[in-house]
Amino acid sequence: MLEMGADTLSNDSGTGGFDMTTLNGKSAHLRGAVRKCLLLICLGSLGACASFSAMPRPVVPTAEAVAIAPQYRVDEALRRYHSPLASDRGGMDPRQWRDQVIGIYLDATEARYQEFRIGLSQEMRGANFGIDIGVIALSAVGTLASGGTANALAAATGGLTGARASLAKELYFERTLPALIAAMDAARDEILTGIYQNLLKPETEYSLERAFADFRALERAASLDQAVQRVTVQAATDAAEQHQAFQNVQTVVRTIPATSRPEISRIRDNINALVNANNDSAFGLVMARLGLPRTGSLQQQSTAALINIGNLSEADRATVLNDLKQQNVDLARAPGG
Amino acid sequence: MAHVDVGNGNKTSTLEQLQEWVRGTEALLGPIVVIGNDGSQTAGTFDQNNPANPGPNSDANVRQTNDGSAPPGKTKVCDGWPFVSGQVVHVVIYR
Repeated sequence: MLEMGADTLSNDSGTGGFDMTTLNGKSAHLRGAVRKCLLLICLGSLGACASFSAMPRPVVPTAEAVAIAPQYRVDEALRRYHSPLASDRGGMDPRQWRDQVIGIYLDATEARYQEFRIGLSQEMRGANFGIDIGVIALSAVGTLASGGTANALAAATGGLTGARASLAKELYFERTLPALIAAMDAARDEILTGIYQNLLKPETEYSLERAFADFRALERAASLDQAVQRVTVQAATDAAEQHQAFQNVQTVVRTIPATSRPEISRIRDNINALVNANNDSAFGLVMARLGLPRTGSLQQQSTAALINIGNLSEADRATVLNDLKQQNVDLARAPGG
Repeated sequence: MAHVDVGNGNKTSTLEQLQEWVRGTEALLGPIVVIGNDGSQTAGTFDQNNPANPGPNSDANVRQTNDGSAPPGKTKVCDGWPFVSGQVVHVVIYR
C-alpha cells in the first residue's frame, strides 16, 4: 500500500484489469460513461499525489536500509561502545563506532520517513483520519492564506462534516498536507543539523547515548500532531506580524479596576492642572514621592507620573496620595474641591 | 506630546479583559485612538489632550468584528488587531 511509486500509478490508471466484457449487451453510451469515470478517477489520483508524493523509487529499498539497524541493537551498541576492547567494535575506536551506529540509524529512519511521506496521501485519503486532521489544519493554514484562498479554506473548515466534505477534502489535499509535510521536514532538518554538527565532536563531548536521544527526537519530529502544532503557531506569529501596528512598546499599563477609575481620573486631572499651571514646586513633590527623575519635558514627566501611579497597587497608591496630601498636594481631590 | 503608546503586557487577555484594560487606561491617560499590537503584546495609543470621559455613557466597548464597523447607532472610535486569548483578532472600539 505504501509502495506508491510510478508502477502503482500506472497499474491504477490502466483499464486492463477491468473486465469490460461484463458490459456486453449494455449500450455504447454506458460503456463510454464508465470509461470516462475511470479516466477521471485516474486523473484525480494523479493530481492528488503529484503535489507532494510523487518521487523516484529509492536506490536502496526501504526494507534493506531498515533491516541493518536491528543488527545494532541499542543495548548491544552501547555495550560495545563502552567496551575497552577495540575488537568488540570491529577494530574501531569509540568515536568511529558511534559514527557508524548513528549513521546506520539515520539512514534507516530517513528511508522510513520517505516511505511515510509517500504513503501519507494514500493513508489519509478515504479515511476519517484525514477529515479529523483537516479540521484542525485547515483552520491554521486558513489563517496563513489570504483573500479567496482564506475564504475557501474557512468554508472548507466549516463544511468538513457537512455537504461540502468533498470540497473540503480536495482543499485539504491541495493546501494543508503540503504545509504539514513542510513543517515536518523543517522540524527534522533542525534536529538533523544538530546531530551532524555534534558528530563533528569527539565522543567525550557527544556520546552515543546523547546521539541515540537526538535520534529519538528526530523520529518524534515526523509526527502530524507536531506538524499541526508548528503550523498553527507559525500562523499566529505571521498574523501578528501582518497586523502589527506598533514597534516594541516599552511602557506597560496594568488594568485599572472599575472601582478605582473615578479616583484615577481625578488624579489625572489634578496632575494635568499642576503642569498646566506651571506649579513646579507641587509637581516636583509628586515626582520626588514617586521616585521619578526630572528629565524630559513636563508632558513626558507627567505621563511617567500617571503611569507610575496607575501601576501601583491600591494600598500603595493610598499611601502615596496620603503622603502627598500631608505636603499639601491633594491629587485625589474632586474638581473644584 | 498629545499621544502616548502603552501596552497591556500580555497576549492572553480575553475580549472582556481587553475592554477593561482600555477603559482603565482611558481613565488614566485619555481616550484611546489606536488599538493594535507590537508583536508581543496588545498596545494602544491614548490621547492625553482630551478628557478621559468625553460624555455620559461613554465607556469604550470592544467587540470582535469582520469589517471594522461599529454597531448601528454607536460611534466608532477605532478598529485594529490586538491579541485576544493569544491570537491576533480584528476588533472595533466604539462608544
